[in-house]
Amino acid sequence: MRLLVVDDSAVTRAMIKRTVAAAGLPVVAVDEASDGQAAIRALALRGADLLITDLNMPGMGGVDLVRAVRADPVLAAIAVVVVSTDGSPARRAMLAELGVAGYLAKPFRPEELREVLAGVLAGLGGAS
Amino acid sequence: MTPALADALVAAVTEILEVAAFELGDAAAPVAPPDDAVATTIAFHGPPSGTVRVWIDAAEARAFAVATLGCDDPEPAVVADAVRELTNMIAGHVLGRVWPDVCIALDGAALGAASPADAYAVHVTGDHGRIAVGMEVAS
Repeated sequence: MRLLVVDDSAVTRAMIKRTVAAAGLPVVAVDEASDGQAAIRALALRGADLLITDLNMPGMGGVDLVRAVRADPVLAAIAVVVVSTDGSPARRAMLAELGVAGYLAKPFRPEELREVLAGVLAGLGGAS
Repeated sequence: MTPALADALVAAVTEILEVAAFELGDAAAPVAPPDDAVATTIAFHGPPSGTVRVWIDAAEARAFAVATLGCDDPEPAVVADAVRELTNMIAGHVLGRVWPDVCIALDGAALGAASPADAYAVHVTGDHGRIAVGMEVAS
């Protein structure tokens, strides 16, 4: 599985990558992007099986990124997990309508991220 | 600031400290920001709209970065990034709980000089120093 981590915080990208590396998940590569536009470029170049994205980012935020992915026939099937500070029920309902497979509120414990990712990856055909 | 909002801010800071930095925070009486405090602001847009202000002792900021990144000696830019993310987490945590039925957009957190002491109504002490938070709701 190939992951793309999208967050404007380098600290958070590093936290997620560290958790993924330690979790024993069937991941062969983890790419990074700092906003939605950079994520679109990375997806066009290298693709991904799973997109892990923040919502509040400068430029193209996470909601617009997910909408762009869903509107692109080549990218539409990519699974999406949102990791964000915005955990309101209203936001979660809106993300569910966009087909987001998992949601995790910041701050998160490593085991919480592992659990969410394992569930999503299992659904994609990877062992957890 | 209403007591309910102040309680929500204390809850946000203590939960974030516990989950992200493995520290137990305690509410404390306000003090003025020290010269080496790291200060941030973040605006939110709903309605409601407003601003969340944070300052954090330099030692606590560094400890937060060490805990979240798992590194021993973070560069100042990494500490600043960690404090911006801490501010983002505090704002998102509070907004999602106080106004659960509204999708509120957050700007990026910005570093800057600390505001006057009375702009920070809520203070929480961690293992290495203090985090002070203020919140203004404009509409």
